[in-house]
Amino acid sequence: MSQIKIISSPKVFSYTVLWMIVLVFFGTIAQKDIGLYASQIRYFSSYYFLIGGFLPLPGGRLILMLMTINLASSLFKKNLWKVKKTGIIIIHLGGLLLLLGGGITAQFSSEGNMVIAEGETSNHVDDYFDMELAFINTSREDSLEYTVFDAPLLKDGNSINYQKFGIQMDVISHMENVRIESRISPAEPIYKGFLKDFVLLPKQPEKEATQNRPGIILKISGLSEEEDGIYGIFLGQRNPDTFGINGGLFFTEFRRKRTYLPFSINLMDFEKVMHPGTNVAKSFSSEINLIEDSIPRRVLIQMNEPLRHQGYTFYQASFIDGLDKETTVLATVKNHGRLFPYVSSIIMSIGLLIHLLMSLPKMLRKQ
Amino acid sequence: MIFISCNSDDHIRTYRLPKNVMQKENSKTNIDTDFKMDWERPDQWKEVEGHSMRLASFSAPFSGGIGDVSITTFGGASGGIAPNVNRWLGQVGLDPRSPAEITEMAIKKVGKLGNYSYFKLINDGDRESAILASIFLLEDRTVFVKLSSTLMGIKEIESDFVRFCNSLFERN
Repeated sequence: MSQIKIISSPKVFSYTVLWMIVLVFFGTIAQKDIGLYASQIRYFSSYYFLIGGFLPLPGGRLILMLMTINLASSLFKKNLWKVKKTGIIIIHLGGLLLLLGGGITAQFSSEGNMVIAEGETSNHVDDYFDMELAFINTSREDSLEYTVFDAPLLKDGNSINYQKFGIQMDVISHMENVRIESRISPAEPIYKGFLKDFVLLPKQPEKEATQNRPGIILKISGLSEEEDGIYGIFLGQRNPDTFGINGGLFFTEFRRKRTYLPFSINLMDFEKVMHPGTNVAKSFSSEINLIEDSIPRRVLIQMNEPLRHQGYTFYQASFIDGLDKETTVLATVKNHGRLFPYVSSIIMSIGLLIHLLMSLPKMLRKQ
Repeated sequence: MIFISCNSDDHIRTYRLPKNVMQKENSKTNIDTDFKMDWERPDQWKEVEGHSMRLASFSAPFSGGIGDVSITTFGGASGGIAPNVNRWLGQVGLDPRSPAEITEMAIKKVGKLGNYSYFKLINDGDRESAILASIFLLEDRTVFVKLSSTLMGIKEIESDFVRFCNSLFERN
Protein backbone atom coordinates (compact mmCIF):
# COMPACT_ATOMS: atom_id res chain seq x y z
CA MET A 1 0.00 0.00 0.00
CA SER A 2 2.83 2.35 0.85
CA GLN A 3 4.23 1.83 -2.65
CA ILE A 4 0.94 2.86 -4.20
CA LYS A 5 0.93 5.85 -1.89
CA ILE A 6 4.32 6.96 -3.21
CA ILE A 7 3.57 6.25 -6.86
CA SER A 8 0.16 7.90 -6.70
CA SER A 9 1.36 10.95 -4.81
CA PRO A 10 0.12 14.24 -6.26
CA LYS A 11 3.69 15.49 -5.81
CA VAL A 12 4.85 13.08 -8.53
CA PHE A 13 2.25 14.54 -10.86
CA SER A 14 3.28 18.10 -10.02
CA TYR A 15 6.98 17.37 -10.63
CA THR A 16 6.27 15.62 -13.93
CA VAL A 17 4.15 18.56 -15.10
CA LEU A 18 6.94 20.94 -14.12
CA TRP A 19 9.49 18.82 -15.97
CA MET A 20 7.25 18.80 -19.06
CA ILE A 21 7.25 22.62 -18.94
CA VAL A 22 11.06 22.54 -18.83
CA LEU A 23 11.12 20.12 -21.77
CA VAL A 24 8.74 22.31 -23.79
CA PHE A 25 10.96 25.31 -23.10
CA PHE A 26 14.23 23.62 -24.11
CA GLY A 27 12.60 21.73 -26.98
CA THR A 28 11.27 24.98 -28.41
CA ILE A 29 14.64 26.73 -28.07
CA ALA A 30 16.43 23.75 -29.66
CA GLN A 31 14.20 23.90 -32.74
CA LYS A 32 16.12 26.97 -33.88
CA ASP A 33 19.40 25.07 -34.05
CA ILE A 34 18.50 21.47 -34.80
CA GLY A 35 15.09 21.80 -36.44
CA LEU A 36 11.61 20.71 -35.46
CA TYR A 37 11.95 16.97 -36.11
CA ALA A 38 15.30 16.48 -34.34
CA SER A 39 14.08 18.51 -31.39
CA GLN A 40 10.88 16.49 -31.18
CA ILE A 41 12.84 13.23 -31.23
CA ARG A 42 15.40 14.40 -28.70
CA TYR A 43 13.18 15.96 -26.08
CA PHE A 44 9.69 14.55 -26.48
CA SER A 45 9.84 11.14 -28.20
CA SER A 46 12.76 9.89 -26.11
CA TYR A 47 12.99 8.10 -22.77
CA TYR A 48 16.09 10.11 -21.89
CA PHE A 49 18.51 12.55 -23.46
CA LEU A 50 22.06 13.53 -22.61
CA ILE A 51 23.06 17.01 -21.53
CA GLY A 52 26.68 17.83 -22.30
CA GLY A 53 27.06 14.38 -23.79
CA PHE A 54 27.11 12.56 -20.43
CA LEU A 55 24.33 13.66 -18.07
CA PRO A 56 21.11 11.68 -18.73
CA LEU A 57 17.84 13.49 -18.10
CA PRO A 58 14.33 12.07 -18.50
CA GLY A 59 12.72 12.61 -21.91
CA GLY A 60 9.07 13.28 -22.69
CA ARG A 61 8.12 9.66 -23.25
CA LEU A 62 9.43 8.55 -19.84
CA ILE A 63 7.78 11.49 -18.09
CA LEU A 64 4.44 10.82 -19.74
CA MET A 65 4.66 7.15 -18.78
CA LEU A 66 5.37 8.17 -15.21
CA MET A 67 2.44 10.57 -15.30
CA THR A 68 0.15 7.79 -16.61
CA ILE A 69 1.25 5.39 -13.86
CA ASN A 70 0.79 8.13 -11.28
CA LEU A 71 -2.72 8.96 -12.43
CA ALA A 72 -3.72 5.32 -12.83
CA SER A 73 -2.43 4.30 -9.43
CA SER A 74 -4.20 7.23 -7.78
CA LEU A 75 -7.45 5.53 -8.77
CA PHE A 76 -6.55 2.71 -6.37
CA LYS A 77 -6.60 5.04 -3.40
CA LYS A 78 -9.42 3.98 -1.10
CA ASN A 79 -10.31 7.47 0.03
CA LEU A 80 -10.86 8.60 -3.58
CA TRP A 81 -13.91 6.45 -4.14
CA LYS A 82 -16.44 8.58 -2.33
CA VAL A 83 -19.52 10.29 -3.71
CA LYS A 84 -18.20 13.73 -2.84
CA LYS A 85 -15.12 13.04 -4.97
CA THR A 86 -17.08 12.06 -8.08
CA GLY A 87 -15.78 15.12 -9.93
CA ILE A 88 -12.17 14.36 -9.09
CA ILE A 89 -12.55 10.74 -10.23
CA ILE A 90 -13.97 11.93 -13.54
CA ILE A 91 -11.12 14.44 -13.96
CA HIS A 92 -8.58 11.66 -13.31
CA LEU A 93 -10.28 9.39 -15.85
CA GLY A 94 -10.29 12.22 -18.41
CA GLY A 95 -6.58 12.85 -17.81
CA LEU A 96 -5.82 9.15 -18.20
CA LEU A 97 -7.77 9.06 -21.45
CA LEU A 98 -5.78 12.04 -22.73
CA LEU A 99 -2.50 10.30 -21.92
CA LEU A 100 -3.75 7.07 -23.47
CA GLY A 101 -4.60 9.01 -26.65
CA GLY A 102 -1.12 10.52 -26.63
CA GLY A 103 0.36 7.02 -26.41
CA ILE A 104 -1.78 5.78 -29.29
CA THR A 105 -0.82 8.81 -31.38
CA ALA A 106 2.89 8.36 -30.62
CA GLN A 107 2.79 4.66 -31.44
CA PHE A 108 0.44 4.37 -34.37
CA SER A 109 0.09 7.72 -36.12
CA SER A 110 1.80 8.36 -39.41
CA GLU A 111 2.35 11.55 -41.35
CA GLY A 112 3.64 12.42 -44.76
CA ASN A 113 3.09 14.34 -47.95
CA MET A 114 0.87 13.76 -50.94
CA VAL A 115 2.22 15.66 -53.94
CA ILE A 116 -0.08 16.01 -56.96
CA ALA A 117 0.31 18.13 -60.08
CA GLU A 118 -2.76 19.68 -61.69
CA GLY A 119 -4.60 17.11 -63.77
CA GLU A 120 -2.79 14.17 -62.17
CA THR A 121 -3.94 11.53 -59.72
CA SER A 122 -2.18 10.01 -56.73
CA ASN A 123 -3.05 7.23 -54.32
CA HIS A 124 -0.04 7.21 -52.03
CA VAL A 125 1.52 9.20 -49.21
CA ASP A 126 5.27 9.64 -48.82
CA ASP A 127 6.49 9.54 -45.23
CA TYR A 128 8.39 12.63 -44.04
CA PHE A 129 11.28 10.74 -42.53
CA ASP A 130 11.30 6.96 -43.00
CA MET A 131 12.99 5.63 -46.10
CA GLU A 132 12.60 2.38 -48.04
CA LEU A 133 14.51 0.64 -50.80
CA ALA A 134 12.37 -0.68 -53.65
CA PHE A 135 13.42 -3.18 -56.30
CA ILE A 136 11.05 -2.77 -59.23
CA ASN A 137 10.59 -5.60 -61.68
CA THR A 138 9.82 -4.17 -65.11
CA SER A 139 9.63 -7.50 -66.88
CA ARG A 140 6.00 -8.31 -66.25
CA GLU A 141 3.72 -7.55 -69.13
CA ASP A 142 0.91 -5.73 -67.38
CA SER A 143 2.33 -4.68 -64.05
CA LEU A 144 5.36 -3.47 -62.15
CA GLU A 145 6.28 -5.68 -59.22
CA TYR A 146 7.69 -3.84 -56.21
CA THR A 147 9.80 -5.57 -53.58
CA VAL A 148 10.30 -3.11 -50.78
CA PHE A 149 12.87 -3.27 -47.96
CA ASP A 150 11.94 -1.16 -44.94
CA ALA A 151 14.23 1.25 -43.07
CA PRO A 152 15.08 -1.10 -40.14
CA LEU A 153 16.85 -3.42 -42.63
CA LEU A 154 18.90 -0.59 -44.12
CA LYS A 155 21.07 0.26 -41.15
CA ASP A 156 24.86 0.52 -41.46
CA GLY A 157 26.53 -2.88 -41.42
CA ASN A 158 23.29 -4.84 -41.85
CA SER A 159 23.19 -7.81 -44.21
CA ILE A 160 20.05 -8.83 -46.05
CA ASN A 161 19.97 -12.28 -47.53
CA TYR A 162 16.95 -12.31 -49.80
CA GLN A 163 16.57 -15.82 -51.11
CA LYS A 164 13.71 -15.03 -53.46
CA PHE A 165 16.14 -12.96 -55.54
CA GLY A 166 19.15 -15.12 -54.65
CA ILE A 167 21.08 -12.02 -53.61
CA GLN A 168 22.83 -10.71 -50.56
CA MET A 169 22.92 -7.00 -49.80
CA ASP A 170 25.42 -5.60 -47.32
CA VAL A 171 24.67 -2.07 -46.22
CA ILE A 172 28.01 -0.27 -46.30
CA SER A 173 26.67 3.13 -45.42
CA HIS A 174 23.25 4.66 -44.89
CA MET A 175 23.60 8.43 -44.95
CA GLU A 176 20.98 10.87 -43.71
CA ASN A 177 22.08 13.48 -46.21
CA VAL A 178 24.45 13.12 -49.15
CA ARG A 179 26.29 15.23 -51.68
CA ILE A 180 27.28 13.92 -55.06
CA GLU A 181 30.63 14.52 -56.63
CA SER A 182 32.12 13.44 -59.92
CA ARG A 183 35.03 11.04 -59.73
CA ILE A 184 38.38 12.60 -60.52
CA SER A 185 40.02 9.29 -61.44
CA PRO A 186 38.53 6.08 -62.88
CA ALA A 187 36.66 3.97 -60.35
CA GLU A 188 37.84 0.54 -59.25
CA PRO A 189 35.96 -2.30 -60.97
CA ILE A 190 33.98 -3.13 -57.82
CA TYR A 191 32.02 0.12 -58.17
CA LYS A 192 29.03 -0.30 -60.44
CA GLY A 193 26.38 1.82 -62.12
CA PHE A 194 26.13 5.38 -60.86
CA LEU A 195 29.18 4.93 -58.62
CA LYS A 196 31.39 4.34 -61.66
CA ASP A 197 31.18 8.06 -62.43
CA PHE A 198 30.16 9.65 -59.15
CA VAL A 199 30.75 9.31 -55.43
CA LEU A 200 28.21 9.71 -52.64
CA LEU A 201 29.58 11.58 -49.66
CA PRO A 202 27.95 12.30 -46.31
CA LYS A 203 26.76 15.85 -45.85
CA GLN A 204 25.80 17.70 -42.67
CA PRO A 205 22.06 17.07 -42.18
CA GLU A 206 19.80 20.06 -42.75
CA LYS A 207 17.83 21.61 -39.90
CA GLU A 208 14.61 20.35 -41.43
CA ALA A 209 14.85 16.62 -42.02
CA THR A 210 12.59 16.81 -45.07
CA GLN A 211 15.24 18.87 -46.87
CA ASN A 212 17.81 16.10 -46.58
CA ARG A 213 18.67 13.87 -49.50
CA PRO A 214 19.32 10.46 -47.91
CA GLY A 215 21.52 7.97 -49.73
CA ILE A 216 22.71 4.41 -49.30
CA ILE A 217 25.76 2.47 -50.44
CA LEU A 218 25.20 -1.27 -50.84
CA LYS A 219 27.34 -4.20 -51.77
CA ILE A 220 25.21 -6.57 -53.79
CA SER A 221 26.32 -10.12 -54.50
CA GLY A 222 24.57 -13.05 -56.17
CA LEU A 223 23.53 -11.16 -59.32
CA SER A 224 26.22 -12.15 -61.83
CA GLU A 225 29.97 -11.80 -62.06
CA GLU A 226 29.61 -8.58 -64.02
CA GLU A 227 26.88 -7.03 -61.92
CA ASP A 228 28.09 -7.97 -58.41
CA GLY A 229 29.63 -4.94 -56.75
CA ILE A 230 29.02 -1.74 -54.86
CA TYR A 231 26.07 0.47 -55.78
CA GLY A 232 25.01 3.91 -54.64
CA ILE A 233 21.37 4.94 -54.54
CA PHE A 234 19.93 8.23 -53.31
CA LEU A 235 16.59 9.97 -52.95
CA GLY A 236 15.45 11.53 -56.21
CA GLN A 237 17.93 9.60 -58.38
CA ARG A 238 16.51 10.04 -61.82
CA ASN A 239 18.65 7.63 -63.70
CA PRO A 240 18.59 4.47 -61.59
CA ASP A 241 20.88 1.48 -62.00
CA THR A 242 19.37 -1.66 -63.47
CA PHE A 243 19.90 -5.30 -62.52
CA GLY A 244 19.14 -8.67 -63.98
CA ILE A 245 17.46 -10.82 -61.33
CA ASN A 246 15.88 -14.21 -62.02
CA GLY A 247 15.74 -13.36 -65.71
CA GLY A 248 13.87 -10.10 -65.09
CA LEU A 249 15.00 -6.50 -65.44
CA PHE A 250 14.87 -4.57 -62.18
CA PHE A 251 15.69 -1.04 -61.17
CA THR A 252 16.00 0.39 -57.69
CA GLU A 253 14.47 3.37 -55.99
CA PHE A 254 15.54 4.76 -52.61
CA ARG A 255 12.51 6.73 -51.61
CA ARG A 256 10.47 8.00 -48.73
CA LYS A 257 8.35 5.22 -47.24
CA ARG A 258 5.23 4.98 -49.33
CA THR A 259 1.78 4.17 -47.97
CA TYR A 260 -0.91 3.32 -50.48
CA LEU A 261 -4.41 4.54 -49.77
CA PRO A 262 -7.66 2.70 -50.47
CA PHE A 263 -8.77 5.69 -52.57
CA SER A 264 -7.12 8.21 -54.88
CA ILE A 265 -7.11 11.96 -55.27
CA ASN A 266 -7.18 13.79 -58.58
CA LEU A 267 -6.11 17.44 -58.49
CA MET A 268 -8.46 19.39 -60.73
CA ASP A 269 -7.27 22.89 -59.94
CA PHE A 270 -4.88 24.60 -57.58
CA GLU A 271 -5.39 28.24 -56.73
CA LYS A 272 -3.24 30.61 -54.77
CA VAL A 273 -3.87 34.19 -53.76
CA MET A 274 -0.82 36.29 -53.02
CA HIS A 275 -0.61 39.33 -50.76
CA PRO A 276 -0.68 42.29 -53.17
CA GLY A 277 2.76 43.28 -54.44
CA THR A 278 4.53 40.37 -52.75
CA ASN A 279 5.34 36.74 -53.33
CA VAL A 280 3.89 35.74 -49.99
CA ALA A 281 0.88 33.44 -50.27
CA LYS A 282 -2.26 34.80 -48.63
CA SER A 283 -4.23 31.64 -49.16
CA PHE A 284 -4.14 28.58 -51.34
CA SER A 285 -6.60 25.83 -52.08
CA SER A 286 -6.88 22.57 -54.00
CA GLU A 287 -10.02 21.54 -55.83
CA ILE A 288 -9.88 17.77 -55.94
CA ASN A 289 -11.82 14.73 -56.95
CA LEU A 290 -11.81 12.10 -54.23
CA ILE A 291 -12.11 8.87 -56.18
CA GLU A 292 -13.33 5.80 -54.32
CA ASP A 293 -14.65 2.68 -56.04
CA SER A 294 -14.42 4.65 -59.31
CA ILE A 295 -16.88 7.22 -58.00
CA PRO A 296 -15.49 10.77 -57.88
CA ARG A 297 -16.56 13.31 -55.27
CA ARG A 298 -15.57 16.94 -55.62
CA VAL A 299 -13.95 18.47 -52.50
CA LEU A 300 -12.22 21.78 -51.82
CA ILE A 301 -9.21 21.59 -49.49
CA GLN A 302 -7.94 24.89 -48.21
CA MET A 303 -6.01 26.34 -45.32
CA ASN A 304 -7.78 25.42 -42.05
CA GLU A 305 -10.31 23.32 -43.97
CA PRO A 306 -8.75 19.89 -44.37
CA LEU A 307 -10.32 16.84 -45.94
CA ARG A 308 -11.00 14.02 -43.50
CA HIS A 309 -11.59 10.61 -45.02
CA GLN A 310 -11.17 7.03 -43.79
CA GLY A 311 -9.07 8.11 -40.82
CA TYR A 312 -6.76 10.25 -42.95
CA THR A 313 -6.65 14.03 -42.76
CA PHE A 314 -5.33 16.02 -45.72
CA TYR A 315 -4.18 19.55 -44.95
CA GLN A 316 -3.28 22.14 -47.58
CA ALA A 317 0.40 22.50 -46.69
CA SER A 318 2.31 23.95 -49.61
CA PHE A 319 2.64 24.09 -53.39
CA ILE A 320 5.25 23.89 -56.13
CA ASP A 321 5.17 26.53 -58.83
CA GLY A 322 5.46 25.12 -62.32
CA LEU A 323 5.96 26.70 -65.71
CA ASP A 324 2.46 25.97 -66.93
CA LYS A 325 0.77 24.16 -64.07
CA GLU A 326 1.04 23.99 -60.35
CA THR A 327 1.52 21.16 -57.92
CA THR A 328 -0.18 20.91 -54.57
CA VAL A 329 1.43 19.50 -51.44
CA LEU A 330 -1.05 18.00 -49.00
CA ALA A 331 0.23 17.14 -45.53
CA THR A 332 -1.39 13.82 -44.73
CA VAL A 333 -1.89 12.53 -41.23
CA LYS A 334 -3.38 9.29 -40.01
CA ASN A 335 -3.93 9.56 -36.31
CA HIS A 336 -5.92 6.88 -34.51
CA GLY A 337 -5.83 8.97 -31.36
CA ARG A 338 -7.27 12.07 -33.01
CA LEU A 339 -10.51 12.12 -31.02
CA PHE A 340 -8.96 11.43 -27.61
CA PRO A 341 -8.06 15.09 -26.79
CA TYR A 342 -11.62 16.24 -27.60
CA VAL A 343 -13.32 13.46 -25.63
CA SER A 344 -10.96 13.70 -22.66
CA SER A 345 -11.29 17.51 -22.56
CA ILE A 346 -15.07 17.15 -22.41
CA ILE A 347 -14.80 14.51 -19.67
CA MET A 348 -12.40 16.66 -17.64
CA SER A 349 -14.64 19.71 -18.07
CA ILE A 350 -17.62 17.71 -16.83
CA GLY A 351 -15.51 16.49 -13.89
CA LEU A 352 -14.48 20.05 -13.03
CA LEU A 353 -18.07 21.22 -13.27
CA ILE A 354 -19.35 18.42 -11.02
CA HIS A 355 -16.58 19.07 -8.52
CA LEU A 356 -17.38 22.79 -8.52
CA LEU A 357 -21.10 22.19 -8.07
CA MET A 358 -20.51 19.69 -5.24
CA SER A 359 -18.10 22.05 -3.50
CA LEU A 360 -20.34 25.08 -3.92
CA PRO A 361 -22.57 24.57 -0.80
CA LYS A 362 -19.45 24.12 1.35
CA MET A 363 -17.87 27.25 -0.10
CA LEU A 364 -21.08 29.24 0.44
CA ARG A 365 -21.34 28.02 4.03
CA LYS A 366 -17.80 29.19 4.74
CA GLN A 367 -18.64 32.66 3.44
CA MET B 1 7.79 -13.86 -29.41
CA ILE B 2 10.17 -10.91 -29.70
CA PHE B 3 12.43 -12.83 -32.09
CA ILE B 4 9.49 -13.90 -34.19
CA SER B 5 8.10 -10.40 -34.41
CA CYS B 6 11.49 -8.98 -35.36
CA ASN B 7 11.93 -11.37 -38.27
CA SER B 8 13.46 -9.45 -41.17
CA ASP B 9 10.75 -10.75 -43.53
CA ASP B 10 8.32 -8.49 -41.66
CA HIS B 11 10.17 -5.59 -43.22
CA ILE B 12 9.99 -6.85 -46.79
CA ARG B 13 6.83 -6.29 -48.79
CA THR B 14 5.93 -7.22 -52.33
CA TYR B 15 3.10 -5.76 -54.36
CA ARG B 16 2.17 -5.06 -57.96
CA LEU B 17 0.81 -1.98 -59.64
CA PRO B 18 -0.66 -1.88 -63.12
CA LYS B 19 1.85 -0.68 -65.71
CA ASN B 20 -0.56 1.65 -67.47
CA VAL B 21 -0.70 3.87 -64.35
CA MET B 22 3.05 4.38 -64.53
CA GLN B 23 2.98 4.95 -68.25
CA LYS B 24 0.26 7.53 -67.80
CA GLU B 25 2.33 9.28 -65.15
CA ASN B 26 5.30 9.45 -67.46
CA SER B 27 3.56 10.20 -70.70
CA LYS B 28 4.57 13.40 -72.45
CA THR B 29 1.18 14.09 -73.95
CA ASN B 30 1.54 17.85 -73.92
CA ILE B 31 4.77 18.03 -75.84
CA ASP B 32 4.63 19.22 -79.39
CA THR B 33 6.29 16.31 -81.14
CA ASP B 34 6.61 18.15 -84.46
CA PHE B 35 9.42 20.23 -83.04
CA LYS B 36 12.58 18.25 -82.37
CA MET B 37 15.83 19.54 -80.99
CA ASP B 38 19.34 18.33 -80.54
CA TRP B 39 22.21 19.50 -78.40
CA GLU B 40 25.73 18.84 -77.26
CA ARG B 41 25.48 17.61 -73.70
CA PRO B 42 28.38 18.33 -71.32
CA ASP B 43 30.14 15.07 -70.38
CA GLN B 44 29.17 15.19 -66.71
CA TRP B 45 25.49 15.76 -67.34
CA LYS B 46 23.11 12.85 -67.53
CA GLU B 47 19.83 12.90 -69.37
CA VAL B 48 17.08 11.84 -67.00
CA GLU B 49 13.36 11.19 -66.97
CA GLY B 50 11.75 14.52 -66.37
CA HIS B 51 8.47 16.29 -65.88
CA SER B 52 5.78 15.45 -68.42
CA MET B 53 5.93 18.94 -69.89
CA ARG B 54 9.64 18.87 -70.54
CA LEU B 55 11.29 18.16 -73.83
CA ALA B 56 14.34 16.93 -71.94
CA SER B 57 15.80 16.96 -68.45
CA PHE B 58 19.37 16.61 -67.25
CA SER B 59 21.15 16.10 -63.97
CA ALA B 60 24.12 18.43 -63.75
CA PRO B 61 26.36 17.46 -60.83
CA PHE B 62 28.46 19.97 -58.94
CA SER B 63 30.47 19.71 -55.75
CA GLY B 64 27.45 20.39 -53.52
CA GLY B 65 24.77 18.33 -55.24
CA ILE B 66 22.97 18.09 -58.54
CA GLY B 67 21.48 20.90 -60.61
CA ASP B 68 18.30 20.36 -62.58
CA VAL B 69 18.36 21.41 -66.23
CA SER B 70 15.17 21.44 -68.25
CA ILE B 71 14.23 22.25 -71.81
CA THR B 72 10.63 23.21 -72.45
CA THR B 73 9.03 24.49 -75.59
CA PHE B 74 5.61 25.90 -76.33
CA GLY B 75 3.93 27.24 -79.42
CA GLY B 76 3.75 31.05 -79.77
CA ALA B 77 5.15 33.52 -77.29
CA SER B 78 4.02 31.38 -74.33
CA GLY B 79 3.19 34.35 -72.15
CA GLY B 80 6.25 36.33 -73.17
CA ILE B 81 9.54 36.84 -71.40
CA ALA B 82 8.48 39.06 -68.48
CA PRO B 83 5.78 36.83 -66.88
CA ASN B 84 8.06 33.79 -67.05
CA VAL B 85 11.05 35.63 -65.60
CA ASN B 86 8.84 37.04 -62.86
CA ARG B 87 7.66 33.54 -62.05
CA TRP B 88 11.27 32.40 -61.72
CA LEU B 89 12.14 35.47 -59.65
CA GLY B 90 9.39 34.34 -57.29
CA GLN B 91 10.93 30.86 -57.16
CA VAL B 92 14.23 32.29 -55.88
CA GLY B 93 12.42 34.58 -53.44
CA LEU B 94 12.79 37.87 -55.32
CA ASP B 95 10.13 40.46 -56.07
CA PRO B 96 8.71 40.76 -59.58
CA ARG B 97 10.17 43.37 -61.94
CA SER B 98 8.64 45.52 -64.62
CA PRO B 99 9.00 44.45 -68.27
CA ALA B 100 11.51 47.29 -68.80
CA GLU B 101 13.64 46.12 -65.88
CA ILE B 102 13.53 42.56 -67.16
CA THR B 103 14.65 43.71 -70.60
CA GLU B 104 17.59 45.43 -68.90
CA MET B 105 18.41 42.28 -66.94
CA ALA B 106 18.57 40.16 -70.08
CA ILE B 107 22.00 39.36 -71.49
CA LYS B 108 21.73 38.97 -75.25
CA LYS B 109 23.45 35.89 -76.62
CA VAL B 110 23.55 34.01 -79.90
CA GLY B 111 23.45 30.25 -80.24
CA LYS B 112 22.93 27.76 -83.07
CA LEU B 113 19.17 28.03 -82.53
CA GLY B 114 19.25 31.82 -82.80
CA ASN B 115 19.30 34.86 -80.54
CA TYR B 116 18.32 34.32 -76.97
CA SER B 117 17.91 36.21 -73.70
CA TYR B 118 20.00 34.93 -70.84
CA PHE B 119 19.07 35.54 -67.19
CA LYS B 120 20.98 35.00 -63.96
CA LEU B 121 18.46 35.03 -61.13
CA ILE B 122 20.30 35.17 -57.83
CA ASN B 123 18.95 36.10 -54.43
CA ASP B 124 21.84 37.18 -52.18
CA GLY B 125 19.69 36.42 -49.15
CA ASP B 126 19.02 32.82 -50.17
CA ARG B 127 22.03 30.84 -51.36
CA GLU B 128 19.99 27.66 -51.62
CA SER B 129 18.05 28.55 -54.75
CA ALA B 130 19.27 30.24 -57.89
CA ILE B 131 18.28 29.99 -61.54
CA LEU B 132 20.01 30.40 -64.87
CA ALA B 133 17.63 30.62 -67.79
CA SER B 134 17.74 31.16 -71.52
CA ILE B 135 14.69 32.10 -73.53
CA PHE B 136 14.69 31.63 -77.31
CA LEU B 137 11.88 33.53 -78.98
CA LEU B 138 11.58 31.74 -82.32
CA GLU B 139 9.16 32.49 -85.14
CA ASP B 140 6.38 30.21 -84.01
CA ARG B 141 7.45 29.09 -80.58
CA THR B 142 9.39 29.80 -77.42
CA VAL B 143 12.11 27.55 -76.02
CA PHE B 144 12.99 27.77 -72.34
CA VAL B 145 16.21 26.29 -70.99
CA LYS B 146 16.47 26.51 -67.24
CA LEU B 147 19.00 25.45 -64.63
CA SER B 148 17.73 25.30 -61.04
CA SER B 149 20.34 24.82 -58.39
CA THR B 150 22.04 26.53 -55.45
CA LEU B 151 24.18 29.64 -55.77
CA MET B 152 27.30 27.46 -55.64
CA GLY B 153 25.75 25.14 -58.21
CA ILE B 154 25.07 27.78 -60.83
CA LYS B 155 28.54 29.23 -60.37
CA GLU B 156 30.11 25.84 -61.05
CA ILE B 157 27.75 24.82 -63.84
CA GLU B 158 27.32 28.18 -65.60
CA SER B 159 30.00 27.76 -68.26
CA ASP B 160 28.65 24.30 -69.20
CA PHE B 161 25.12 25.70 -69.21
CA VAL B 162 25.98 28.53 -71.60
CA ARG B 163 27.86 26.13 -73.92
CA PHE B 164 24.83 23.85 -73.79
CA CYS B 165 22.43 26.68 -74.67
CA ASN B 166 24.67 27.73 -77.55
CA SER B 167 24.72 24.17 -78.86
CA LEU B 168 20.93 23.73 -79.13
CA PHE B 169 19.67 23.39 -82.68
CA GLU B 170 16.48 22.31 -84.44
CA ARG B 171 16.60 18.81 -85.81
CA ASN B 172 15.10 18.35 -89.28
